[in-house]
Amino acid sequence: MKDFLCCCEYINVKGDRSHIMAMCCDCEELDNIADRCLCCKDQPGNYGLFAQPCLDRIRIPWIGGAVKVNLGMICPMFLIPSFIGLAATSCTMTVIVAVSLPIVFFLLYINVSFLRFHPKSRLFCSWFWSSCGFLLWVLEYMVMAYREILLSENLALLFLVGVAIYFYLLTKGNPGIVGHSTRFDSSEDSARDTVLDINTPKVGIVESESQSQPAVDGQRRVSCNVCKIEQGSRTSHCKLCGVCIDRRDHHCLWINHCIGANNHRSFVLCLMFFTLACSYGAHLTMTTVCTPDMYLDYFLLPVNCQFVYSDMHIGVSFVSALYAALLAILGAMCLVQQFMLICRSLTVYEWRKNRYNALIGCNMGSHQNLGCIRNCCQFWFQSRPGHYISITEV
Amino acid sequence: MILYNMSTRMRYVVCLGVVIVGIFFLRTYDSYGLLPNHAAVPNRFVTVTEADMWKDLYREEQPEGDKPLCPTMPHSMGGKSHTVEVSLDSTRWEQIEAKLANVQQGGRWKPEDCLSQHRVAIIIPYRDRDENLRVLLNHLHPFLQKQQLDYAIYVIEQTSGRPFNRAKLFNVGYSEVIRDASRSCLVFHDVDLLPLDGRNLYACSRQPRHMSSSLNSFRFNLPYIELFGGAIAISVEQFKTVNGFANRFFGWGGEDDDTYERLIAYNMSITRWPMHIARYKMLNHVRQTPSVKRNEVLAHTNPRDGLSTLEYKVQKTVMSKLYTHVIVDV
Repeated sequence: MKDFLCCCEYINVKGDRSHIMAMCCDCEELDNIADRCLCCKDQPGNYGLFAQPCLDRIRIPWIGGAVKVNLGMICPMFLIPSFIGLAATSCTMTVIVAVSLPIVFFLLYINVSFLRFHPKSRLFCSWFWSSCGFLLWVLEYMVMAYREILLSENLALLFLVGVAIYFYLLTKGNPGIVGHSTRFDSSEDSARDTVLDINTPKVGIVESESQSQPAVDGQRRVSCNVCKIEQGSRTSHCKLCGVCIDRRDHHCLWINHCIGANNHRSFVLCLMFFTLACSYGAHLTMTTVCTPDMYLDYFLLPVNCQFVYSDMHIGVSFVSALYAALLAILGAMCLVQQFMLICRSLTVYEWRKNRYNALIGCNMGSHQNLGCIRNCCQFWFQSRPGHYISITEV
Repeated sequence: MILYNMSTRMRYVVCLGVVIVGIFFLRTYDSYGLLPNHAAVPNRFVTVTEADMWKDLYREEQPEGDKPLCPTMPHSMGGKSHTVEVSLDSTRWEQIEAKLANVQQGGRWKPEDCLSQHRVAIIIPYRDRDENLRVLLNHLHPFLQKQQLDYAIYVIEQTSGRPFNRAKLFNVGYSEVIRDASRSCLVFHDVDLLPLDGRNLYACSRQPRHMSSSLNSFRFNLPYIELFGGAIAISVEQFKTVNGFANRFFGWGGEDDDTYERLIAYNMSITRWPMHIARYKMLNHVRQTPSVKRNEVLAHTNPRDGLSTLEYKVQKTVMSKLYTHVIVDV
């Protein structure tokens, strides 16, 4: 690619140079299909052949050539506002949308993950960001227009959002990638493994990438077939990220990133502030669009939401508040799970594995359990190893 | 520090995010009138203390009569608590009328044993909120009688069709009031507000007064310094001086800001009484979409637009038991 591409040009699937403006021109596939239709011939294969160049042509101008638009990424940006707008028309529509939302979401996910437009689907990530952005926009432009939110309340909300974004960025950092050069804190590691040894019979962990190896000096070592490294006792391989991660908790689809030893703390904090911001935003909106009343001489609670569907503007604000409340509830549920597992010093991955093992009749037990308080202290205050390899090395 | 650990693309995203958050922040500050460019509209709100507010009342020459003047601070309001109980159950009109039998036809009343110092017209713009009106009148009549005011309540109803025009209905209300009887003080009152403190006298101060600065729906705080909606007390003279309010604000929003700008253009200031006195309860009400054109109309406001250009058609005037009902086409 020696030629310099202008921002509207790109190299298409066939390797030819093409232009955005020529989007609807010159499509051989379409010609073929039309020809065969007119001649009443059988279509070779299916219309999927036509879909590929179509998707290839949807691009947005970018420096150094137009970039392909990721459908999974774009869908939520249109879906969320249209869903909320639809739900804002009446109470019945809200219920219908609330019921159909999970179904549509599931179908969309299946579609995107099976057609594999992109190896790492950004659908969830995009959904998360579109939701947050749209909710913030509704609050700042539609609810604020009624001029009923105090400056202090607004600043408090923006502060929560800001802190959540800060911890989000921290979470997006290195999750704790394990490479050849990674040293494990051997004393801690062996101590854990010794305990494991006493408690459990040696049963290989059922996993596609890992292989159980015979214990050497009373220590269980597992190696990863993909990364070609020796895993520590709490390291596991992430299929989506394609790397081994120390103390891997889970791969969070909503932020499209793995949660491991290095970013687990900031993840929990991010989740916490996200939940707080969502619930506070929902509260501010509800007390504005519904008629509020004071309780205990301080707390404002919405008491009468009789007229919320009388007007589109109010309806959208109200439905957004409901959506934010839903997000807050989901966030709170994840948070409760995280806290419960932290108290038991487990990661989500280990918890699932244990459940699976219990199912097949092999109880692993939580081998690092030091008691609830000590586990929490360890999680929040123990310094991180800090010698993980960086993302760029992988 | 964080930025170093990121890919280039992520860095772009972060910078974009920071810019967006910055714009949000500026916008937030701007909407509260805290940015320097807002200094063009000066802050002329004066909050008086509880001791001064009685001295600050607007008084007119009273004709000599056989009855003594009523006390400045209504004595029946005295006692430990000035808080007025609110009854939200919307009873039927007949029940309210039976309860308030002492009110004269058209919603007028004056104290019998003394001569009231204030002759007030309460003007309520209205459309399609029967339940609110019942609750309000059920609350307001006893409230005003305890304050020993010579008052009349006017409900100005806009016929359906165009969007609600609150400020113009105020102008119409004024024109109807001065045709009826001599009133010296006007109280422009929203239909969904109930006064909660007996000391909040429904009479004019020397300067126009913003009566509803402390609403329960804002946790009895004032969200914006420039807030000037809800309930306003202004003398007839002052209202004539500023040529009434604007006629052009159809739909929600903007008209209160315009009113404020009119008043300060004539060098008036706005009085507010202490927050623990200016307490109101907001009733359940239908909300409207903020008018898209409100800022545009506000920017091109014209002081000549007002009482002098007021055009309307009274469809019907009904002297109901509890209020004078004027139905207008605006």
